[in-house]
Amino acid sequence: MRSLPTGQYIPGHSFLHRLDARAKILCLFILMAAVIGAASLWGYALVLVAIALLVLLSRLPLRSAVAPVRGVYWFLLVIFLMNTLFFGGEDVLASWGIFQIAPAGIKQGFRVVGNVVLILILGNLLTMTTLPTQVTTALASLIKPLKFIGVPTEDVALIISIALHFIPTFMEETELIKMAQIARGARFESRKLSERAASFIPLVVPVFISAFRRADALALAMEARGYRNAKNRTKREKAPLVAGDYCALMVCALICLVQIFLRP
Amino acid sequence: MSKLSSVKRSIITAACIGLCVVLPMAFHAIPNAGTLFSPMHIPVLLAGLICGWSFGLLCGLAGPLLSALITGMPPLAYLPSMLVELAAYGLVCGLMFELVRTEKLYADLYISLVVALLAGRIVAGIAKALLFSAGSYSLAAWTTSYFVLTWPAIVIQLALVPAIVAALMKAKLIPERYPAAA
Amino acid sequence: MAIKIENLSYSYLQPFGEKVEALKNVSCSIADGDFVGIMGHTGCGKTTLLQLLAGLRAPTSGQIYVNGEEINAKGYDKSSLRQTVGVVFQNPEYQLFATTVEKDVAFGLKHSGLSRQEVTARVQWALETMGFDFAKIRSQSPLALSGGEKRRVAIAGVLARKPEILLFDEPIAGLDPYGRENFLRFVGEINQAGTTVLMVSHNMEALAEYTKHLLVLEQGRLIDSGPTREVFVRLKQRKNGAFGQTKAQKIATLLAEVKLPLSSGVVTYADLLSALKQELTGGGRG
Repeated sequence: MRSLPTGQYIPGHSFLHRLDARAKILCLFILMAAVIGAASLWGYALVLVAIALLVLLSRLPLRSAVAPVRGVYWFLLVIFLMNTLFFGGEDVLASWGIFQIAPAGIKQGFRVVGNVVLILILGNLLTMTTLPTQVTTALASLIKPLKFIGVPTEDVALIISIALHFIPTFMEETELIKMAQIARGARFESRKLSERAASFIPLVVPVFISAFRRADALALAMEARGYRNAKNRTKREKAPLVAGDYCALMVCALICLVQIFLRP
Repeated sequence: MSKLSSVKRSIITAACIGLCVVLPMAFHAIPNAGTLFSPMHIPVLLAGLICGWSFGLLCGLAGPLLSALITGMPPLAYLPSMLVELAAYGLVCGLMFELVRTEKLYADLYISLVVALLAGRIVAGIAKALLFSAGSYSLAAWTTSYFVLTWPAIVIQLALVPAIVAALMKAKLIPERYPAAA
Repeated sequence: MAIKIENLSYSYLQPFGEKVEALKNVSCSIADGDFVGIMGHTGCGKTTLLQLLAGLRAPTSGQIYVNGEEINAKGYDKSSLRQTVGVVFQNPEYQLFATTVEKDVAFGLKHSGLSRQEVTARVQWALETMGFDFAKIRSQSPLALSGGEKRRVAIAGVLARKPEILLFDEPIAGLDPYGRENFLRFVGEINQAGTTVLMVSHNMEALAEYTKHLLVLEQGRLIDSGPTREVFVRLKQRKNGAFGQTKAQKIATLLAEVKLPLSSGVVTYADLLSALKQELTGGGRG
């Protein structure tokens, strides 16, 4: 059987690798807020330096740390143009129909593209230094407070862990179904939309049926063993956060705070 | 579909979340299929239809999140707006399917799907305008990204989702909605 | 020569960069109209071999010739290969999707260029070959059939394309004894009619009774091949005698332990029976 894909995880022992996944996720959110909140040149300089330090700390090769940005530069160009052309503002430099180019628009374009690039790198740092399973268990424990507003967080955690368990099996089955249909003459390259839609049916319908069949079998087995809800399950004790984790959180919070003061 | 037990709903939702990760990978090899057909939307819509709005909502949030973590698609930067869009699909689809009962399975399905697909796009547009790229997001950009570029996906989803629901009912993996009519 | 394989190897990378060698340097050839069994433990590369033969994966190195043409050569028309080679994967019932049995079986004929009447005739022929009453089954949903029926419909879907070479991956796993016998008799019949058949199976009796030649794979290597009976006899002489023995062979071994040695050529129940008869009527030892 295939094992779970490890995403972009690159094994390592750097400070970022060793940080608790919960702390890393919280830091990610705080730093994202700092990026989105940046409103001045100094503000951007601050987050830029912080992210550069993080890349150094992760000991990842620079190439892979910025890989997702290289993959989407076309998309970035489109957002830049859309913002520049539609934003408008005063001191219009050139205009054509509904399009107009103004300094404010160009500034806005740079800003949005900058935000996307920085957040891409931040997210990438998390997924490159943390295994998907670690991220999901961390998320499950971070959503615990939602219990107070009536969300059954333990059931949610269980559903997600079962979903993770399904993924390798589904991948294998999907691959086999695809091969079987190609072997008996399925084609996916039709240009006409209606034919194209129809050509997906032989692939998607069996994939769903085999997935639902597995779900059915598992649900029956769980019901047969008397499973009702998550209340009575034994809870795993999580290791508490250590000093390093708290330090990282404090530094991130500080960056976010400074960002607020740097706003004009 | 009231006959499904809560355990079964949970496991079916888990399967749909799993498919949110697997389907985009499976379609990756087929040229343009990913952009044309948004394979992740289908399990979310199904989770809403089959298991109800709360499970649809969960699938809409957990599906893209797990996919981003495991396969890197979508990249984390586009994740927030996608989460909002898919969560709305699952939620609205489930709500509509619980409310609309025309005694005709396909009518119920199409009404729920069309409303959900519209609602999801509107909600995601609003979220983008107010939160993710405040001030820089225009109506023209919204129409381009959610309708002009994705209308093939809308057509394909409207064709595929009812076909899958019908097939699952035939295979007796989910209960019939109107057993007498069948 | 229907199929010729030369120095075929296939390896793939697992997450974390672990390299798995599914097939190592396999060479063999299969004649037109042959019935070849493929035997080996789970994970020995049997399924990979079938996928390579069907052109669904490209080998890491080595060549596969189908009807004299190399299937991975540049410019080779893969769609003609799909006409020549039919594959029935493990649990083929998982590939059913259409609203009626007729549409599902006809799916593979969509791009064949046959007229509507010809398609219907083909579908009828395939379903009847698989033992169905065409008028009764044609408009039923394939998804609502029983497990055994689903598998037969799925096989009909492959058969309808009239492939010259048919590959089966564990076709009888999970069938009841009656379904198994039925299926094997049917495969024997299409083989008699001229179709080359390759069958992967764990079922030693099925391999011994029905196949003409046998390929034995172990950890991606072809460790033995030849006429079925000879291969079974050789396998029994190997050190790890548990590997690939029929029940009749095991019974013969037990009889030898109680001082009733039979011919080493006992492979099937029929062999066992005739050897015992000979022994009881006081005939010589073979």
